[in-house]
Amino acid sequence: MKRESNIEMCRIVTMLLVLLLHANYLSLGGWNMLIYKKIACRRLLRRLQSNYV
Amino acid sequence: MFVLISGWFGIRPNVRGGLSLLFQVFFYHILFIVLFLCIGETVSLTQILEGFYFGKPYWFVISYLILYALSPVLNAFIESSTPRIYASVLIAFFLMEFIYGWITNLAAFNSGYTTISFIGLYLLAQFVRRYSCKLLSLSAYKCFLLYILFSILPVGIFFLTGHRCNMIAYSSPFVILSSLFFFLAFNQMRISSKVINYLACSSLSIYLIHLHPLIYKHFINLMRTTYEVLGGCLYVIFVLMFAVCFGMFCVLLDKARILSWNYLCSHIVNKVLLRFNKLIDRLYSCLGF
Repeated sequence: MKRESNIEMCRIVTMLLVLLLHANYLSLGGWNMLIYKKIACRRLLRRLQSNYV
Repeated sequence: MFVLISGWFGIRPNVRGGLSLLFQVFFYHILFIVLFLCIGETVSLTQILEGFYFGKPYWFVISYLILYALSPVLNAFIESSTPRIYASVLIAFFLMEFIYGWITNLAAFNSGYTTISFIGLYLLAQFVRRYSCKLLSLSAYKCFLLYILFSILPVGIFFLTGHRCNMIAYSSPFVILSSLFFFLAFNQMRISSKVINYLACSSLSIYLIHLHPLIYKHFINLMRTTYEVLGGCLYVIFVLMFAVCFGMFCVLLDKARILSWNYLCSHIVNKVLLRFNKLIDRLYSCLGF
């Protein structure tokens, strides 16, 4: 079967997108989640402190 | 995407093709074990075995191999069914997948990271190629816009409602539709280049190398450290440059794998396969096939 360059190009771009996805989502996803949790904890702490005062 | 492309052209399975895929996995696995042992890094027995029995990161390889083995059944269905039956099967399949694989995410679908999901994609690609004249008449520009739309839509829903929409699951209709339009956009283009063909035949190596159990932890650490040091904007530039350079490195490394495979084929594999085929013929004649 003759290889079509447009489909081959699609394969290359897909692989690069997979690499970018893993670099951003899998590597930083967990990290960002920690930051979000940290922010949420701070807000909760502030709310508790204001209620206490 | 790889499954959509396979479905579009149809898989013609043979033992040599299956062995070639297995060799590709084992080549990098053995190479990295040797390399890591040489530089004095500790390699656990689990990590060594993981590459041979296709641990979690290589789910794609085993799912694809099962699809490869089942492809004659799917091809026979594609050839013999009427468009109406074909469409009914696809509607029933994707309805099940969206309900049980995307919304409720039952174990049988595992977010679409299974052969079942691959079967649906394989059939979908052939259906579009054979019967979907309207989709095929869309220009590359429109297909690309639809790809962007279906990629952004779940993100928009997330920001508006806070619902994650199981965003990166392969069973998500957004992922399936965006992949289909991404593929159709390229299908409408007219490109002819020997360089692209040369690079593309090694594209799977990018996946196999960066998800290798020994490489992956370093890959993740590098990304996290760079993000911490450089921050948002510079990190984007870094990651784009890294993707291109890493991709080129993997492709070049894969050329060594291709040379090794060709050498093995001419010296060992072809002879073994000849004997194997004779053995299978004898077995079939004994069984009366």
